[in-house]
Parts: sequence; structure tokens; C-alpha cells
Amino acid sequence: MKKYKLEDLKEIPLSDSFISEQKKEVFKKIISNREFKFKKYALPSLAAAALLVILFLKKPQQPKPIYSDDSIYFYQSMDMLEYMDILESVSEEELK
Amino acid sequence: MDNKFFDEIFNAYYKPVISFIYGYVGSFEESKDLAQDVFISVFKNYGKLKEKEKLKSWIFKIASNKSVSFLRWRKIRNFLSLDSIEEEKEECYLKNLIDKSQNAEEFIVKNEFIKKILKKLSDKERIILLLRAQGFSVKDISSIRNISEATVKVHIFNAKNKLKDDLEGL
Repeated sequence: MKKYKLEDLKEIPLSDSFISEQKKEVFKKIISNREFKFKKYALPSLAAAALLVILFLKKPQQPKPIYSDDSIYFYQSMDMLEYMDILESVSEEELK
Repeated sequence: MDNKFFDEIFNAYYKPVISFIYGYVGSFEESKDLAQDVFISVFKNYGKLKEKEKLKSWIFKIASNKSVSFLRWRKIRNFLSLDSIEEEKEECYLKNLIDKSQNAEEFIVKNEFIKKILKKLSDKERIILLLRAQGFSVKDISSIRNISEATVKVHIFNAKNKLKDDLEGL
């Protein structure tokens, strides 16, 4: 038995109180969206300000140490050590 | 868009929009969220609408696009068994939202019947039949769904064929 029509799919008979409650919720979301948008617009300037603060607070880099004579000598002796086994393997006669 | 105009649009289209979404999605709680999204989009994008006389079609285009995307996502979610709709709870919730001048019991019986018969249709047939129930022409539906008029006619024909024993006036 056919009881219903295609038009019965058209509208749920919702109460007015439910509809006005939904309207309020939608408005609330629209407003919070706008606030979020404002925050988004503010982001580039906030980021620039943050960058400036970081640059300002960042400690200046330590200047590279100037090597003293001792340290140069140390590195030179290190170089010598690399060739020590070769030097040791050379017989004294060959050196003469 | 000023608030007074939005108020008018909301009052005129909220019921048909949520009913359309509910018919397609099948869960009232989820339809409520989707309908809210639709009206937020309407409010935000009304300025971009060039042909203001096509407001109703435009609103339903937004509603149908959001519903189709949602259903796709829900199918994946259900496939992954994350959660499912509790139909009994839904029925009770919806019953409390019905206008007091209406017979809520009668509505629930009708609603259950309609939900059952709509399950006989494919997603495409269902959305097109629901748009038809909202009074849209084949041409309107073709523009709302971005498909050819011939495809719309085929879906309407198939849907009516499947439901001819259940609904009057098809």
C-alpha cells in the first residue's frame, strides 16, 4: 500500500526553537571565523616582530680564535706524526 | 551580507536544506553539522554569487557538494570501523525536535519508512531524487550536480522505477 509521496521527502517539521538555536550557533561560528581571520591577517606582522626579537636577543657569535704560536706548533707536530712510520722505515744508510 | 538578509535566507532555506541533507546522509546529528557548514559558506560567499536569482540552486549546490564529500569520507570511516550511527538514539533525538503542532510519532513512522526505501537507491539516484523532491527541474539538477541533463533523466527514471511500489505520484 502506497502511503507517502515524493513531497514527503521535502521538509522535516522542525520546531521554531530548534531553528533559532541553530541560527544562533551558525552566527556564533561566523563570528569566531571572523576573529580567526583577523588573527590570520595579523600573522605576517607577528612573525616579523618575533623575528626581530629573536635577532635582537641572539648572542653575537664568538670571533674565531686567532691561533697562537703554540697551537700552530702543535698542529705542525701532528703533521709530522702522520709521516713518522715512513720515516722510521727508512734505513739509516739510505739517509746517508 | 547583512545579518537581516542572512536571517531571511536562514528562515527560508534551513528546513529544506537540512531535510535534503538528512535524506541523503541518513543521520540527523551529522546533517545538523553539515547544514551549519552550508549556511556559513552561504554567508561567507554570497558576495561571489553573480546570479542572485539562482540563490536557491546555489544553496543546494553547496549542500549537495558538502553532503557528497561527507558521505565519501564516512564510507572510508565506516570501512575502517571507527564508529557507526546509533539509529535508536537518533530517532529519539529527532522526535524531540519536531514541531509540537505536528504528530511526532507519525513523523517518526513516516521517516523510518522513507529512510528504508531510500536505501534501495544508489547515492547518485538518491541525491537526484531528493533534489527533485525540492522542486528542482532536470536543468537545475544538471547544473547543481554538474552532470548532463540526460544523466539526470536516467537517474530519475531508475529511481522512480525502484520506488514505484513504495511512493505515490511517481
